[in-house]
Amino acid sequence: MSVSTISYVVWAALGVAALGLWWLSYLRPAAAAHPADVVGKLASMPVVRVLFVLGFMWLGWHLFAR
Amino acid sequence: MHTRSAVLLAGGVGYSLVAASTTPFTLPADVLTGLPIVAMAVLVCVRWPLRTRKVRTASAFSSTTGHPYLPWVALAVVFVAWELFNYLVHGSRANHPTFSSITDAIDRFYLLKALLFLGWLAAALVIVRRGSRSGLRSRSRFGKAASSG
Repeated sequence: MSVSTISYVVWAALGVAALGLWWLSYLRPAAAAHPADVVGKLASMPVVRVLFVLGFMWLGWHLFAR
Repeated sequence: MHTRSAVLLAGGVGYSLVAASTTPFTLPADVLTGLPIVAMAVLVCVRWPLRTRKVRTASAFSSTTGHPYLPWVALAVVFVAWELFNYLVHGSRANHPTFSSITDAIDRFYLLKALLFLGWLAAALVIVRRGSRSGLRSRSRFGKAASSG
């Protein structure tokens, strides 16, 4: 297995894990919070919420404009 | 589906299709990506409460109902570590793709880029709503219900 394949497999595993957690959040909310609740939690932290919003804005700029 | 949601979805899809047709490092791409960023900044300033201390106290329920945020924190840590490793390690980008290089590859396909842009817009909407006064209040009510039940 090449280095490239391993890298993509790990990225794919991370994606599957995110989808799995999303699915789990509907089945067992006590085990995994719903993504919108995670966002709400971040938005309730004074400094983190500013960094979170700025990071999200930068992500869009980085992905689509620059 | 509510009329407002349908209008938002149609508007978002239309905007994403137009934005996806632009090329990075050009003025149209800058403008069409910058507009939602400015809109988000304005909405956050207008709709988010200045202070969050009371809301945080009311919604602190994780100690009574487990740690539902922990799996997401763990996933975020692994994501950041893997991104940094691929970014810093010696070798070609083809062998060590970063999140950016993967999305660059996705952006070569018009419809996938439009979907990605739509997802970014939708996530921005969720962030604005969840951080707004009403969003935080509903979260704190959920927290109280979870800790009592």
